[in-house]
Formats: sequence, C-alpha cells, structure tokens
Amino acid sequence: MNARDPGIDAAFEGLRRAHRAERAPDALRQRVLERARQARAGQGAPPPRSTPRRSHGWLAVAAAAAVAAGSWLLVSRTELDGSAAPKAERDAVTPTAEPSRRAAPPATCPRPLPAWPWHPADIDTATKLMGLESRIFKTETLGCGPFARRYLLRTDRELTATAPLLIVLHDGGHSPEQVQVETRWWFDDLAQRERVALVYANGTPAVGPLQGQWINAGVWQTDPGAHPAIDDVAYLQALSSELGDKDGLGQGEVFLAGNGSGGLMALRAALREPGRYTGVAAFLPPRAPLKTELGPVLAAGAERRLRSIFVALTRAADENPSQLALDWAAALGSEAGPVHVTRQRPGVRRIDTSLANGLALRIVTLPEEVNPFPGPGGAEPLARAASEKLPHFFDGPGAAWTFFMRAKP
Amino acid sequence: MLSTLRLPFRWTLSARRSADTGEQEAEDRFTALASEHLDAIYRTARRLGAREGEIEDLVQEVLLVVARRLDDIDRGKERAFALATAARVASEFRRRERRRREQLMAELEPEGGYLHQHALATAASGERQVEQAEALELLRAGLEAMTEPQRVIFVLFELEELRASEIAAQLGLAEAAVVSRLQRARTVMRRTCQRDPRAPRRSGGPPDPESQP
Repeated sequence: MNARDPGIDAAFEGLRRAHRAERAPDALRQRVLERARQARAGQGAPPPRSTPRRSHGWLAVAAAAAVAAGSWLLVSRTELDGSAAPKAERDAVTPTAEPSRRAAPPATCPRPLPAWPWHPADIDTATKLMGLESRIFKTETLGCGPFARRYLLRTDRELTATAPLLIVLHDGGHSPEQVQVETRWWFDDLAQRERVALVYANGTPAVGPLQGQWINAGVWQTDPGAHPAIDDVAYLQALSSELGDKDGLGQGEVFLAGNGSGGLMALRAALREPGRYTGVAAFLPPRAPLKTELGPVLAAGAERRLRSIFVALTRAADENPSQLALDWAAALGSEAGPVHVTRQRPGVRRIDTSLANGLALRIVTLPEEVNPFPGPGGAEPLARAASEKLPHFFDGPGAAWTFFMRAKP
Repeated sequence: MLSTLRLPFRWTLSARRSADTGEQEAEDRFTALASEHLDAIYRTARRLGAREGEIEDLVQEVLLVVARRLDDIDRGKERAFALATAARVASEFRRRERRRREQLMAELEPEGGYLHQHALATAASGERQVEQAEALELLRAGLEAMTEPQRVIFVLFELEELRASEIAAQLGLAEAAVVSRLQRARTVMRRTCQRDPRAPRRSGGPPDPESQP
C-alpha cells in the first residue's frame, strides 16, 4: 500500500463479508471451466453461448454454414470481384504493432480467423438502398495471413482529393448499416452539406460468445470477443491508403468518429497514429484508453497532426464535471489545463480543457438515462428525445464537427 | 528455409521437450488461476449488475480473455487482472443491455429468482443467512445508487480488496482518479446505509463524518 492508498474502510465490513461469502454455483463452475479449457486447447469452434439468442436462430444456421464453407467464400468472393490485392500490395500493408504484442509476437496463428462474410449476398445487398458502396480489401493480420475487410463508402463523385474524410466506427456487435439507421442518416446529411467524404468502417466477426446478431456485424480489437491476430489500427490505416489509391480521397484532414466500443477504437487508433488523424470523436466509449493503448500523441517532438479529441459521455447528477475532465486528461497521460464548464441546456454540460502540446479536449455530458443512439426502435419517446439531442454531439454549436473545424492551430 | 535444415536429433528433441513443458506450465497456470479466482469473478460480475441470463456468458468471456492474455499477465497480478477484466466485460454487457432495455425488461431477475436463491443458499446458515442476505440487498441498493465508474472502483477496492495502485494499473486510470472515485462511492454507500433503518446492524461501522450536519 502506498501513501495515496486510502485503505480499506472498516465501516463496510458487514457488506464485504456478505459479498465474499458468495460462491459460483457448482454447475456453472464446471461448465465454464470446461469450456475455457477447451478454448485454450484450441479444440474446434469457440465455446457455445450458454443462452441462445432469441429470434435469430436463422442467423446461427447461416453462421454454421459460413463456418463450414470456411475461407472458400472469402477467397472466391474477392476473386470474383477482382478486389483481391496482389501479394506485393498485401505485403505493403504493415500491421501496427501494439506495445504488448511487440514484446511477445505470436509465432503462429493463435486460432483460426473468423469465417466471413456470413453470406456473399449480404456483402452489399442492404447498401444499394442506402446510397453507399460496399467494398472489400485485404489487410495483413498478426500471424494469421491476409484477411478481407469491408467498408462502406458514401459515393459522391464531386469531392476533391483534399476534401475532409470522416471515418465512422460502429459499436461492437453492430454493423455499419445500423449506424446509418440509428443516427437517422445524420452523418450522411453532414457529409452532403459539409462536402465531406464519408466512410462507415466495418469490424470483424467476434470469435467468442459475443458474436453479433446482425448481418455484417463486427467487433473491434478493443472488444472482448475480438480475434487476437486482427489489428484494427492497421485496418484504419490501410483504409485511408486504399481510398487515396482508388478514389484520390483522404489527402486532406482525416477524422475518426465512433460509437461505444467503436469510439474507444477510434481513440485508440488516433492516439497510436497522431500523425495521420486530425480529430477524433468518441460517443459513449465504455472506458478511457489504457496506458498500453496510448501512442506518441503527447511525446515531445512526435509528429502530430491530431489537434482535437471530443468525448461524449453520460454523467450522473452528482458527478463533478471538472473532475471528469481531470480524470480523462490523466487517463490520456497528461495534466489538464484550465477547465471551462458550460451549461448548454438542462442536463447537458460542455467541458473544455487542453492537454500537453496544446491538444484540445472537449467532453460533452448528458444525463445517464439518455442514450443518443437509441437503436432501431425509434418510435419510443426516449428514442425521439434522444434523436433530438444528437445535434449536441456532432452537428451543432459546440458539438464535435464545429469543434474539429474550429480547433485549428 | 529453416525447416529444411537437418538439425541433430538431440537438439530437436530438447526443443520439443522444452516447448511441451512450457505449454504444460501455461496450462497448469491457467487452470489454477481459473479455479482459484472463479468465485471472485462471479461475485464481482454479480455486484456490477450481471443478470441471471448473462452471468455464465460473462464469466466465460472473462476466462477467455484471461486464457488469451495469459502470457501478458505478470506473476502475482492474476487476481487483479481477472477482476479488472470482469469489470470491463460487465461494463460492456451493461452498455448493451441499456440499448436493449425494452427486451430486457422481460428478463429482469424476479424476486426469489435463481441467483437470489443461490445467494441465500451459499450464505452462512441460520440467523447469519438472513443477515447476509439483507446485507447483500443493501449492497445492491448502494451500488445501484452509484455511477458505473464509482461502482467498479468500490467493488474492486472495498469488496475485493485490491490496492488502488493495482486498480489504477489494470484499468488504465491515474491513481488519483481511483482514490477520488472511491471517496465518492463511499459517500454514496454511506448515504444508502443511513437511509436504511437496519443499516447499522449490517454495516456495523462508525457513523460517517462527512454526512454529519
């Protein structure tokens, strides 16, 4: 225990005793340990989920078919499309080594890559109706060979090479198509109005019990069910290069925005590669980045294009906004500058501060009960109220986009 | 190609043996870790809001993460890693749950449900059983009154007795942030205890100086 450690509070001894008397049921213990041993031994498919997903039995059948088909679907699809990159091109995409991985690089592939896509017809069926073009390209993994990745591009041929590029990351277990629907085409409207090239990035299928319920659903490497050999920082990096090569886009400013674990992934990618991204917005990230996820963003002399970080969080009524900013600054490895708190409307606070090297940090907080991404069931009153609050996050006075544009050096 | 070189038989045999030994050691370590800390993972997940239908998946997911990251876990820090992972996975589950609130309204654990009964059954017998069940209920109320970050810190520090430095390292927070959240969480828990008429018997601690007028 060090000097700052407050020590265990004796007042809670009774609660502590009751808590620690609780034991896992024997049946649960046996099942869980057995599945974990099997998974560790790499025997076959990932352990089955104990609770079946409701109303998605057909999806389980599709998943089983995709597993049976293995990588054949992947290869045949990409070859049919002509999108399979030549070997030299594939090799040019270098995975970004994370600090922890650098210490112990996987000598062999730890487990088979997830079967993907669920079904070839799912790759672009939905997007044709939504004004998006679905594309696939290959990236390298950490020890498991090449893996095809997908993204959706909003096709607007009038954009110039220097137009800002906005890459949107969906939440873990969701799909890019869902982001479009859940945000009521908000990013599409913004892209059209502000002349921005818009891309919806797609995660990869989970390999654990957290498999997505939706077509083209994926997780990011910050999610618990992510395959350990898939590097999403490298995927986002390759995505920018791919857009530059194919469409001449992304020569100007590149912004990342993500919801939930997509927000955390966006933060991670921006902090790992501050020379590539101009701004990052994370909406309701599950946590702040870990120390191992921090890159050279605050290092003196590091090449840095990143100038602004925007975080949208829910906040309990008794949580101090200034303390929240200090906590986040500390999590990002920096002292916070002066903190300015602005009350935008009842329950909504805007907290501004600066990090080392003049990096601007803005946090917008909403009351805990409001979820700005309410899901497809948009008819409920809560969802309606939440969609009205969306401008506060990305497209209004003081919101992310305005913040990005104004936070110029 | 290295694989085409003909290495002396002794070299290859000793290399194979050493790899097998390493793998066996890792296997033993994982089994010991999982068996020893499964109860702690389970109750941490319960305190952090895992519901009856998802607790097994949650514990399973934590063990999968531990299995995957076993080589990255420092010796002696297994418990802290496992519990911090449980907190993260529970947070992920809760976030998804909020989004599916309508569906989950039907799944809410009923009074006297499986886990409630199990908690009673695993508590000490006789009078202490009732006392501990009441304490768990009070604990639940107090934890529900906290924000999620406060709840995580309270469970890891006060209930599982991890050190602030361990929590800070595992969750990627500054130690000052952990202490600050802990103080606020304690205040919330004390208020909850004081509102409950039977609280002094359960908590058995001194009155809260912060809440004195």
